[in-house]
Amino acid sequence: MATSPPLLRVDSIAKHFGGVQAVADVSLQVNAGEILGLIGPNGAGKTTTFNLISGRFPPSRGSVWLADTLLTGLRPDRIAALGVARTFQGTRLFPQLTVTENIETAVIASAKLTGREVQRAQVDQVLAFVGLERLASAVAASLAYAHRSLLGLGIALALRPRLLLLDEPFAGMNPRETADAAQMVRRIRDTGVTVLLVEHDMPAVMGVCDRIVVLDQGRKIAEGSPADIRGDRRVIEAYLGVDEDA
Amino acid sequence: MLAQQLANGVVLGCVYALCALGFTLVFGAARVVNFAYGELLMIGAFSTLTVMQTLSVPFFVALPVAMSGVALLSALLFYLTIRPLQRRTTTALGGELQIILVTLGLLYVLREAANVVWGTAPRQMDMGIHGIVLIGKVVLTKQRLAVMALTFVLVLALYGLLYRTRIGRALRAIAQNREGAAAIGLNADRITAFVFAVSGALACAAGSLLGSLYAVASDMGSSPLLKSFVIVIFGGLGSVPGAIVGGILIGLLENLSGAYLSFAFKDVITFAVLIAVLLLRPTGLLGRAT
Amino acid sequence: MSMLQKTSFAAFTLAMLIAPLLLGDYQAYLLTLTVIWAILALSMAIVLGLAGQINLGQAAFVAIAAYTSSVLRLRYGLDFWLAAPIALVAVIVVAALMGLVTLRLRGPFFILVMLAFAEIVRLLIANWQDVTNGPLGLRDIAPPEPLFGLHFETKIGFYYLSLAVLLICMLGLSRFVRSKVGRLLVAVREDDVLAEFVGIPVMRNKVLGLCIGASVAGLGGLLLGPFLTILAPSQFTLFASVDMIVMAVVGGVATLAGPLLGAAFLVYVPELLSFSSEYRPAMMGGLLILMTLFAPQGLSGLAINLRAALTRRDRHGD
Repeated sequence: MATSPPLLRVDSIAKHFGGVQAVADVSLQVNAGEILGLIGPNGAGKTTTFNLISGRFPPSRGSVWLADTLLTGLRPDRIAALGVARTFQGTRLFPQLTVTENIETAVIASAKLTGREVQRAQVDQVLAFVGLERLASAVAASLAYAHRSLLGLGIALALRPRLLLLDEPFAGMNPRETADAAQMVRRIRDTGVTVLLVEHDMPAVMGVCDRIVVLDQGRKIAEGSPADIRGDRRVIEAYLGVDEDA
Repeated sequence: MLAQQLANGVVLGCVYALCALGFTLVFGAARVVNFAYGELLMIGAFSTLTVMQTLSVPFFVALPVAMSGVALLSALLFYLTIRPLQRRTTTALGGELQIILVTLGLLYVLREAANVVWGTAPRQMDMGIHGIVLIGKVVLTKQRLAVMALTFVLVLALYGLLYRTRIGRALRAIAQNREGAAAIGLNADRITAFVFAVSGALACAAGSLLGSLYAVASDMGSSPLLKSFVIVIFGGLGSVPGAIVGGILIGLLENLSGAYLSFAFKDVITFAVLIAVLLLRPTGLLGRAT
Repeated sequence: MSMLQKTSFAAFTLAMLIAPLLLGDYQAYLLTLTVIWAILALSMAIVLGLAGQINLGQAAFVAIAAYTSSVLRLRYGLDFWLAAPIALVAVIVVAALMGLVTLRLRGPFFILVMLAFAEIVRLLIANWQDVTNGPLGLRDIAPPEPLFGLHFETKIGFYYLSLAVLLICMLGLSRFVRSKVGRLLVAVREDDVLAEFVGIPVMRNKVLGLCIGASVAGLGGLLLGPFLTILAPSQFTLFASVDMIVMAVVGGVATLAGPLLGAAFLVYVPELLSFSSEYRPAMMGGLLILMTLFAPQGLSGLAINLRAALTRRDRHGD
């Protein structure tokens, strides 16, 4: 896996807001076809890093590369066109449009010159993948929480991204829902999409990610397989804030 | 002469600062842009005048009475028209937009009500302070001094309210983080109603001061509304020091450009400066990102 | 467009074509007024409903079109049909510039800047004596010159011209909303952050929405001059923009029929109740409050809900 160049490369990015240093120095790579988890205690800078990668705001320093295209400084719509899609915590939708129209919007926004037939097929495909066919005509604002998340995911998938960024995908889910969601993430990876997710829910992350990067206080403190991370003392200390040996 | 214009500008600025304070408080606490604010100001001025005339009391006795009245009115308007909208989420127009629409409607209704009750002719209001004071070469009427003093007192009272009382703390908590504050049990609605009341009281004071300096008329609210809007944008929506500094700055800017550039176009200049500031700093001079 | 929409549009067109032939002069005047206001209400509905912004400077676009075309005709002797496109281009350019500059500002800031813009336009018109004749305004604005053998000097002729403009705008808008660009614009209105991350260039689309709204407002402005025969800066204050908002909100911004209903309501209700013009502002304000609180979808929304309730069918989006 490490022989081919990484799909996403983050080089020493930093971000401060006014006087607050949210991200001090973070570098990481995501290889094509893997599921990478980005975790850390509260205030570690994971959300800011996520937002920096997705282009929500530019870093104070450093750069983000998608294969050999520089993403830093590009507007979000340009980044989407390059094949990076993201979801939003709490899920953003187009509230007054139906489920179908929500997904259609993403399809037509990213379509080059495809005809209506092809677009229709793409919409149906996404609806089937996330399992929302029966709610196709429902207005987005009326959906229950779980379905909202699925729709948010569907909108991102409709862009046919190379890299999918998931913002706390397991938030607010019970164990069964989490297991279903994890299965969904694996299915997405199996279609050839690379996944980077930011998350609080440790067991979920351990269960679904190939590799994990741990942040604390704006810096990367560990990275490796779930097994590596589970036993890593620095990670444990970061979360518990306890000095085991005085 | 420059010093004289500066002094006059500061006095004007004090009144503008009071105007802006009420406006910015409501925005900070409830994210509401209250287009009817200028009308509350106008009703405040008329109320003070009416209390003075019907109860035969001097200005400074009528003022607190009128302030309480307008405070109540403001809170009532919040409960009747704005609170129902804050609960709405899904409609053709967003909740924020609808609140603005409703306050625009209130603008009309309140002005018409004032026309019916008090008529359209401008009136004079006598503060009861006469005489002038000479500071170096600058001439200041004692009335203008009183305006500055009253502004100072009210601002102090406001700071006392915001930083020394429990409800003030709650207000600041809500301004920072509405959901978080609700989570720890603060009743956002009651506190917002309180903010509207305080805002109404400040509007009444500002209107009464303006009325005593110039005249009381049913259309006196438009210009202060616009200026308050400008000041609050300059100083940052929701920022109390911003409103004060901004108010004084705008008072100075208006006075100076009126005196030295062009009297007819002084408002255009103020607006043009506003647009320029917003382009460079979209959140205002002292504002934080919303 | 659905069968129902097509038939109602056809019926409406027919009714509007025949109406003035059956009515007296005064009624024809009211009808023409309604049509022109409907165009202005439509322009506001475009900005409100499609671009999701409250534009308190919309009256300035009307003023720019009205004054530019009238000044070109009165002072430079241009034909209406030459002055009109020039005036429209002027409006679009100004709208595009203002949009580029202001649309990146969030809600209240945008509102304020457009308000300031409107005031600046009004003050410029009122003080530029040489060109605009200042506060006294322009008088004796003639009806448009004949075009392709069609005459507009008669009240009926001018009415048909206005009606044609309205119908073209409605049809154009209807097709636009269903087009790719139109749907992207709707998405931007629904959630501009999500829209951007889905690959939609938000600023470009918001400016487009503003320009389209401004063009329609400009068309209304072009008709306003000859219709009223006088123009004055006092006609284009903040309250003029609020008038347009009230019409759009009362009628309902989500449908094409909405602005029409709103305009008709605001022209005919005061007539029927023989309101003196004194109370008109209060009525407007009261309507705005009541509609926003109790019927935010406007009259057309109420009609849709009524129809849905009566037929108990599922409601899709528009």
